[in-house]
Amino acid sequence: MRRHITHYLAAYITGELPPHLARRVGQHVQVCDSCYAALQRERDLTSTLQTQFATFGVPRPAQLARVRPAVLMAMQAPPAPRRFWPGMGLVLALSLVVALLLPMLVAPRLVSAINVPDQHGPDVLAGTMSIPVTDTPAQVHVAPTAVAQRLEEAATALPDLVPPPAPVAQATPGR
Amino acid sequence: MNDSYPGGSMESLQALITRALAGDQGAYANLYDHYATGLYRLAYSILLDEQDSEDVLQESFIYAFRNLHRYDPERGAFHTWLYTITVSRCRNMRRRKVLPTVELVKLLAIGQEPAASHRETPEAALARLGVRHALEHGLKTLSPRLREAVALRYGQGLTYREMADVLGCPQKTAESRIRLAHEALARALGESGQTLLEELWGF
Repeated sequence: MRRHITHYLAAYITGELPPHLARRVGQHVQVCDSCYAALQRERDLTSTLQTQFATFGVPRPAQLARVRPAVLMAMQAPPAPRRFWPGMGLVLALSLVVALLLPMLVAPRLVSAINVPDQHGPDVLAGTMSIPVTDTPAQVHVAPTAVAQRLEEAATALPDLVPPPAPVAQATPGR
Repeated sequence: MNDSYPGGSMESLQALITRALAGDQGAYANLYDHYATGLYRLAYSILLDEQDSEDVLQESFIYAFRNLHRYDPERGAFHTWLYTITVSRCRNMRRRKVLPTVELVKLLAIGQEPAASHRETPEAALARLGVRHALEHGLKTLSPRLREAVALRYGQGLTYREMADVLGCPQKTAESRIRLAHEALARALGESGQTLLEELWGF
């Protein structure tokens, strides 16, 4: 992109243009009055800025003396160690979230496991439970009917094993 | 890239840095004494506030000294590296607070004024102060980026290449910022500034 010659004047004055550009600018300002005037204005401004900035913002000795001890003292003490590992905050936050969510995830399963419906309860309850009722509990538990049957069998066999009690003598009235 | 250091060459500066890296407090003090004025002037030219400039000076040196092992002479001069840190701290300071309005009277404190030449007449001194007033007024009209450019260019005497390194921009951008700053300063100086300039050069 071609730039107007005025873009190069500041660098031309301080000799920071590449030789081929400096040559072209120099040739142009010799034949162009307006650009020559612009170059003179740029020279005046540059000179003024250089002169004024040479003493601009010079600190008082007291100012530098005030900062110096603080800088040197900071270099005597090692940098304060980090109190926390940089990722510690994130880890703590994640741990807290997990700690809060874990009971919510696990609790329903525990409740379901505890509230397994009675195999002999109403059928309507079995249909409403989250865990489907299978035949497995029937294999584990002995059905009450079977227990009753075995008790009856034991009772009938009992007379064979245990002798019947001796008949009690009848008291004779009037003796 | 060469780096200027009084009473020595690039090697002596490197030796000073090496001693500082080894924990030599005297080396830190020498580095501070040599570069503090330049860094303060740079900060003040950008921020136009004494207290803020002192804060930036302190922050810049502490950061630079603690990160001295990161300085690579192959990548640039030591003072350029320090200027980069200072400009960055100035930007941080500017973000932290609104740039205050500075009274010219405060800017022109007697203690800050360079001693007038014995040959300078009262009229010339008055004209010089007038130009300075106009210049400071012009600086305040510049955007922060343009003020940074002007401070580095005229306050620190950097080339466009060095300015580009410090500002983290292409050299063409640095040139453009100076050109824009010149235009703005010329407008700000206006007729009164031009008259004052003529009076100054006339004396």
